[in-house]
Amino acid sequence: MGNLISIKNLQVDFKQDKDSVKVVNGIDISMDKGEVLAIVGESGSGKSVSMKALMDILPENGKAYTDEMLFDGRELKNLTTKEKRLLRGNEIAMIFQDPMTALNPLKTVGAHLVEVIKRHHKISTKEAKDEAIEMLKKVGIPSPEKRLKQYPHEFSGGMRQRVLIAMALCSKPKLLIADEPTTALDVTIQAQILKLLKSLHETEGMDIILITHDLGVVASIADRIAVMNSGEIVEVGTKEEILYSPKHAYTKALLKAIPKCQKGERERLIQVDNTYVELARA
Amino acid sequence: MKNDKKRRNKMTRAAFLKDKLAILAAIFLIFIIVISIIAPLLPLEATKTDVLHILEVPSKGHWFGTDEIGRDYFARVVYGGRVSITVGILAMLMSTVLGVSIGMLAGFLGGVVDFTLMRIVDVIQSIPWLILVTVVSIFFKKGLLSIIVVIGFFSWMEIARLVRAEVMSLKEREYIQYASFLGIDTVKIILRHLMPAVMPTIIVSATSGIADAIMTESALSFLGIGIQEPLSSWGKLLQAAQSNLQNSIYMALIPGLLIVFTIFSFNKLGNLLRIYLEPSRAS
Amino acid sequence: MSTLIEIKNLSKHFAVNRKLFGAKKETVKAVDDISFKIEKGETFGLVGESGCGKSTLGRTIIRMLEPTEGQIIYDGTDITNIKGKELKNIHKRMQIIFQDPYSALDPHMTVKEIMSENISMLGKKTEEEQEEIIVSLLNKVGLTASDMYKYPNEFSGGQRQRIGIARALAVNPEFILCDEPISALDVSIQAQVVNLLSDLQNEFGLTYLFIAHDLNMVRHISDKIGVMYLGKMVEIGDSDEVYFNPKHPYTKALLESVPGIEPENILDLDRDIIDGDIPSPLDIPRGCRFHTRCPYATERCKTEQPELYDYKDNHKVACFNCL
Repeated sequence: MGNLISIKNLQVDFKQDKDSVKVVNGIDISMDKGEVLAIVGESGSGKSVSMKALMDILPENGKAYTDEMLFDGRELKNLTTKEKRLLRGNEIAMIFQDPMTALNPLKTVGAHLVEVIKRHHKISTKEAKDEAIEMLKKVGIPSPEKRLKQYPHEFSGGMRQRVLIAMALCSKPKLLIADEPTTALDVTIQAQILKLLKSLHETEGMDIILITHDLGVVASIADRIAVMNSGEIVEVGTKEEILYSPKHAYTKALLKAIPKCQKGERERLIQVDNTYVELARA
Repeated sequence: MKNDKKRRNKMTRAAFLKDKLAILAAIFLIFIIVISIIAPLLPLEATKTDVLHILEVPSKGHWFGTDEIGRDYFARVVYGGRVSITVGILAMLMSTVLGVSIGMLAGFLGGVVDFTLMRIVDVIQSIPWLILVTVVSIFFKKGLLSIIVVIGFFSWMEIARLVRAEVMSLKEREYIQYASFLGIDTVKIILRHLMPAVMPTIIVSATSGIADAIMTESALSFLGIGIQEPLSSWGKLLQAAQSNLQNSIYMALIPGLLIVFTIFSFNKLGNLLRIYLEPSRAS
Repeated sequence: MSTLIEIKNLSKHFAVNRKLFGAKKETVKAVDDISFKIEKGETFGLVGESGCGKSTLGRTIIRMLEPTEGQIIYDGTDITNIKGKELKNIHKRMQIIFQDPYSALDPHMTVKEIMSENISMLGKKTEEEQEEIIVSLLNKVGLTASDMYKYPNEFSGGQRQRIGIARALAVNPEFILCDEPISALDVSIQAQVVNLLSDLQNEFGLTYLFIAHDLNMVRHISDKIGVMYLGKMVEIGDSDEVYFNPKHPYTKALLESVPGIEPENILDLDRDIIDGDIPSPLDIPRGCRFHTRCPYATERCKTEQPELYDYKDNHKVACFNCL
């Protein structure tokens, strides 16, 4: 299996007035084809920003530098703006924590899907609609014909996330970047969405980078885990390595801060001393 | 908070210095206000008539010339400005106090109180404004006070609406709910928790309120139902200048331009305040 | 142990206008006929997914919201309908900590001003006395005396939550409603706040009603757990009993959906996972409210509503199939 992503020495700066703040501090990320990679960290760790840098969708005051940024063998730094946009639409897709921000409240769900489908295939609106119904079926939305005519606000949070995933699937992307896709959802719905992501990974051959703060979510779906803290990757390894024999002090502390679900005496939670992160956010 | 204040000061100062017109506006307003305050100390007589020198053109003795009964027009303009600015500020104060209290009550108490107060606002706002003021001012004794009351009483609706909307969203904030949970008096909640939060809205709308009040006063005086002789205001001067428009057009231009500049300046400063008070929303 | 709070058949309904010109007002039964007890000194954990009414229930119990029906008995006195001074006195004994540390503190006040407001509820105090109390409370929650003069936006989320806790403690309450106090915080900060809450409980003998959707955390902190679904209590019992021996299909589904990190607790995505969405509280299904998603639902479940019954000591379930 080949290498899907290889990023070397990624740095991201944010300009604030005249000062610039380093949010991502020289990280290396590599990912093989056929993998689910999880990037874990707390808020302000730079996990989301580093993926936005890969997608080239940083906010205006952000600037990324890398020595190398390879996607499927191509150097992204050499692409023109137009080529980057095509890459974003066709080969890399992204879904977010709050699906509502990515959907236009004035357009029906069907219209969203038809627009995306027609961008990728030269087909009639009628055919695009059939395709859209197929897509909704694929992501497990019941009675898709009816749902197609509804507006985003008529969908629950979990259903909206499914719509977003359906839209991402239209271009048959090689990579899906999911930024906290289940954080805003209830646990039973979270489990449904994770199940859907896993089955799409297996059936559609779509690789996934999952950005999350929840180690439990990671444990259920990831093959490899990168732990980020304060703009640096402190530890990378397989799921088993990170969860059951962590090397770095931060990873260890993070794992101990989670309550155990074993029977018997409840131990006191171990507190992570992460004053740096606390201060940075203050 | 300290950093925040520093940043806002910086932003506002930057916006101020970049905006040459804003600097001019500030200088102009300070000048006008200082002159208005110290007017009685200046060797100006606005009411002394001199039938031998009527409708004189500007000269060394009479900077702006004289009017049709020989009064020094410069003195008339200065004293007129005094009246215009006084009306503007006092009417604004009145409408702000009324608007803020009514908006607060309606927004905070909600229910029947809110419904009743807002329907009153609707009714007053639905009557063409100028007609209303005209009719009312006919019944009032003419004078400075009544013009202030009339303007103040008919211009509080907008600010009441703004304050009400803001209070209604603030009411959902947990710190307000917590204060009522603790059993703190309504009045204390309003003064301590709601007032500071709606202050930016009030200040911004008050600055433009002054401009509006000056404008209204001018319009009323121009129509002859505002300030009465021997007092003058810029609107009043404008009205008087009509009859001499052909030979002394400057008599209309001077108060007219002063009205325009003053209103512009107040609005300009209102914008700067907005940048200071709501840095995220300005730009 | 004696009972601190007893809830009898408590309901809270909200009227909503669904259509723009709809004359007919609909009611949302956010809390529907719930009864349970909270013992002195214990932590009662309340879990459920969004829209289940757990927050509404909590806030109705402390009389932040007016109950529609039922009774709230606090330390032997019926507080369901008390008003004015009596209510104010009861509110000195019960406090609340909010989920969102950003909206819970007045951004225009310093920490000192925020806390003085609570302290003054206990009667007049001099400036020095107030400051003394504030400093000791701030130290209790891990902040320093100099933090007194800062504004809320100078603190991080975790620190604000500490201020919220210090404020609640300022009136020497017996009971604190913790309304999702950790949901908005990072994992490492969650642990700090949870540890702080249990330390304070030991020191002051506090009773907590702890609302959360993180089952692991609720089980960690609670002595008893109540599970809510669409305004109804579906299962209630000792914490470990509910957690390790769940009887209601909803509790089971909820627990099975929790992603754990130990090998035996990892969420298995290849297994069957509970289907369907949570129905809207405006369209509550007839019969058992869970029957639309329940894999064991029978005809009876679709028409008849099950009541809580004793499955065994300190474990009640509302399900026909567990009878």
